Amino acid sequence: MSKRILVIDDELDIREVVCLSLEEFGGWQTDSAGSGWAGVQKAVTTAWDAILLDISMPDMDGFAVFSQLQAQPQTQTIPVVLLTAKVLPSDRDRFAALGVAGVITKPFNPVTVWQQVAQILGWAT
Amino acid sequence: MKFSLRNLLIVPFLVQVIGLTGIVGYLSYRSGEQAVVEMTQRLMAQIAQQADARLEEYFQGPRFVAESTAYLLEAGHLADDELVPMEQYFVKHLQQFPELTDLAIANEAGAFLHVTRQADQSFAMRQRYVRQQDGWLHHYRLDAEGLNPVPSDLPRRQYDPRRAPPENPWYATARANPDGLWRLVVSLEQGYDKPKLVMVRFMPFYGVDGKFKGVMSAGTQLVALGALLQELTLGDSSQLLLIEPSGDLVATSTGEQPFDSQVRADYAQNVAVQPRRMALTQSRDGLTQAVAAALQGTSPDLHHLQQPIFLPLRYESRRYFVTLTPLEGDLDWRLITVVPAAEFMTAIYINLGRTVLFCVLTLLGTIGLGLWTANYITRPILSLQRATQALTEGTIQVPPTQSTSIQEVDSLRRGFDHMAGQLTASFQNLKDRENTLASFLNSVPLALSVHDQTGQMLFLNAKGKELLVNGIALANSEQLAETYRLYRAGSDALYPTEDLPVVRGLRGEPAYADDIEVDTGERRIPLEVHTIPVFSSQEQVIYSINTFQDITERRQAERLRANYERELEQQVAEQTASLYASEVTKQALINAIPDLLMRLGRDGLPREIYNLGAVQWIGDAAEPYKAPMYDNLPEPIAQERKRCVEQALDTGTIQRQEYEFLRLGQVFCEEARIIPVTEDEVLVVVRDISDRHKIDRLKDEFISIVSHELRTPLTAIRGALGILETGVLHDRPQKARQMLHMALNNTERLIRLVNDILDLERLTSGRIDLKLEPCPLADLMALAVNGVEAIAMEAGIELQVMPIDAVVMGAPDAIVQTLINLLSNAIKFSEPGGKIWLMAETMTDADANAWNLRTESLPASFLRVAVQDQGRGIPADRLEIIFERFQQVDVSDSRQRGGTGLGLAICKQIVEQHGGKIWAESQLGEGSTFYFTLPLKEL
Repeated sequence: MSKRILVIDDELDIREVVCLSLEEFGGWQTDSAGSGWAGVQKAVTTAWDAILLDISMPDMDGFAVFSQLQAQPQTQTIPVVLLTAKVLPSDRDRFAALGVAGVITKPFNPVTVWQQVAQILGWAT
Repeated sequence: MKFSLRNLLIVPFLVQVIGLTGIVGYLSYRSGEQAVVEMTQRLMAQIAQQADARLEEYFQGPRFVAESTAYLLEAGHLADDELVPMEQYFVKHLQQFPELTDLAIANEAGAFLHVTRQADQSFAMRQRYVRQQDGWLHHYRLDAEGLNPVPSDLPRRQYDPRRAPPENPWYATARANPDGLWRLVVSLEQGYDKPKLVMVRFMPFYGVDGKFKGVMSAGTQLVALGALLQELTLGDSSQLLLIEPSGDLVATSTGEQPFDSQVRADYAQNVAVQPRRMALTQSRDGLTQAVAAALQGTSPDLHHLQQPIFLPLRYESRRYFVTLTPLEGDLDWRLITVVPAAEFMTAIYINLGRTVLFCVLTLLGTIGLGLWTANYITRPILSLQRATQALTEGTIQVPPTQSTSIQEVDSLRRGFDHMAGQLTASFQNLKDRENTLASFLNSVPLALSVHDQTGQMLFLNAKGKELLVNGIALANSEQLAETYRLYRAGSDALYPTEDLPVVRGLRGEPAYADDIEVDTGERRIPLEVHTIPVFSSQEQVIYSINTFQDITERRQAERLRANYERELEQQVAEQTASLYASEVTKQALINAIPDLLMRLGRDGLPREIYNLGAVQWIGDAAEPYKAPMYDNLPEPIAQERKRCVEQALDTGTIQRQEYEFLRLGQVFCEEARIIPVTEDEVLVVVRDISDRHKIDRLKDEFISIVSHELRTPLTAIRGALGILETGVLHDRPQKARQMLHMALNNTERLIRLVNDILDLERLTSGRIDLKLEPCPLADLMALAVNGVEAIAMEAGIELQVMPIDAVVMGAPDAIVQTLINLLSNAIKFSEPGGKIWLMAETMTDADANAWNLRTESLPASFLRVAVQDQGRGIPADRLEIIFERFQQVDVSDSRQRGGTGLGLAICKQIVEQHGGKIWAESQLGEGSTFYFTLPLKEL
């Protein structure tokens, strides 16, 4: 069964590239949200298999979104993979403390990014 | 003058004893001698009296016989004309009266009878009987009974007794003295050649008719008298001498013949008395001669002598007593008694010897007793003295005092023992304290010395000995600098004595110096010296306490800091310089250190705190010493601090602690270094590193943002190209074009970003130096408007430009870039249909003040450019921060408005490099105005 993935990123170009990659190469269904707030809204309306979440976003950043997701029973079990350009050691430490499923750094290979996600989440490829 | 107790006790005692004994001895001797002299005189008077009596008695015989015989003749009981019967009468009387030696009778008829007792008790007789035919004088020797006459000499013819001796016939003399008389005559009874002087009593006798009939005589030989005197003498050395007032000798007890017995050829001369007399002075006896000389020396009137005369005499080293006594009775003689003083004085001398011996024994006894007493008294006192001396010398073992039976001394001794016990205990206590103090002082990490009033060092602790390698040397104030090789820092001149802190301390002023260097022989060590005077209760300086330490490291730190300070702002430099010049250098130094300095005990109580304001002090800053330091820290930090302090004390190593905490809504970051100083004290240096952290964080953030800003377009480019490359979009050309467009857009965005970053980097690092040149502002404004006209039009924004005729000094490209940036921002944040104004106006000094633009770099004349929009406005709290990198009002702006987030930062750099200022004013919802100033070209 095809996986349903929600991509939350404020950069339109990134959203498009990610969704296209996952659909074309992973064969998954995707939807995207351009802000943290929109992402949280979308997360509760549908049963997602995973959420790819950007960190640096205006108004509501990835951390806020993640804690919102964790706070709600409908969303707290959805695995979250961070998709971020933040690569400093201090960032990594902070990510590790969050309890997310995994981190994928930007820029990523659009052809194999679906495999990275599947590996993180333990899905068969 | 000091005396020993022993001498004081003994010497006066001895003097007293010797004096007393001497005086007693002398007085005893004198009184003895006096007594002896008196006794001698009495005795000698007695001897004289006795002799007088004996002589009186002696001469009683001749007198009695002469007188009685004369009476018998006168009475007719004896026939005077017939002398034969008289022979036996004379013999009987001579036998009866031993003192008699001669009896004679002569009568008017010329008859003469003379009987003499010889020395052998036989008799000799001379007779001239007138009835006999020849009338010669015959000599006979009779036996002891007076019988059997034997002629002993030739008869002498023509002898007339009445005319013998011829020149002074005794017969005639006797006839003239009817009462009788004494007279010396020369007797030839022993023979013509043996004349003898005889003392004769002549007594004339008369017939019944009163007619003179003859002379009776009885005599005694002077030699026999001498024997009598000899009997009367006291001893061998004594002499009794009888003399006549004329000085002629009568008799001596020495056995010497008191007359000249030389025979003379002429009869008359042979019997003449006077020529045979011998003066006392003619005596052959030495002592007698000496007596005669002594008498001549005193020349007494011998003829009228009434009282005995005593004469002292020294002969052949012997003393004699001489008495000259007149004799009583009818013999007008003088008796001379000579007695050697030794006769009396022997006993005296023996007594004197005994006295002296006794005195010496007494003296020795009393000296011994005195010595013993003195010793008995002084021994315990001396033992006290020794103990006292031992005490004062601080000898550990005080010799035991001696007990004594002298109550007062013993109670003194007991008192002393008690006191000494207490003193010893006190000394021990004191010593213990001293040791404790010394070990405490030795453990002090500061060098410490104590000096007395002369400057002599009394104490130097262990740290001090490391610095003053000579240790405690003999040196007064004047010699201190030379002895300890103290130099004025940076010179070879010995440190001036009067400036030495020790010497100033001795003058009573607390002193400080940090310009002293000590030469240890290996190197010069700079010292910091603090000195405080110690006063006695009389306000006299008694000690100077000196603490000093090696400040080599501080000097180095100071140099480092000095180097560092040169880079600091002018204000700090001036402040530091003025602080340097002040006397509170140390405090200034500490103040200059941006750290909290705290001496902290193991108990956590601060002992000394400097720069309390350097860090956040959570506790009561008014009384920082009251509570343990840990109370001033949040709990987990306090625990860690405690652990660090203990570890520093246990291991002796420096511990570091870095921590953050929240206070008054602000995050503070501090770094503490815990440096062990002593066994239970650490130095805590706390530095507020919040700023450093903030800078670090900002740097991290910047890198993070730059990374993010670079990676975001790269991600889009990489993604788009990656997808295109797989060819999955071959059958979807629209989508493929969209991807290509995306890649292109993001590439441009990347280029802008990189350019902006590089511009900014060049501007901030000063690597590009803007070349200022005069340029007409209107031209620059026109160029800028040209650059943005297209996008303004596209966004539906109207640009209103109000140029002025002014020439500014500036780099034209940079100014145009600034204007374009500001205009672009205005366009980006303006709603379609909005208006944007670009204006410029020259400014005066008053305007500059009013606008608070006066800065040092502001030129004398300048103009102000303004870009005003009607956009959404900027919150007041972000009006300043927007000029920093990536500090857009909204993070999303960079995506939506296509900015890099660096534009305003670049503008700021450019304006500031022109010596101008850039700022913004805004009303939310009504619009913002960005201003910047530019220098006008000097006319």
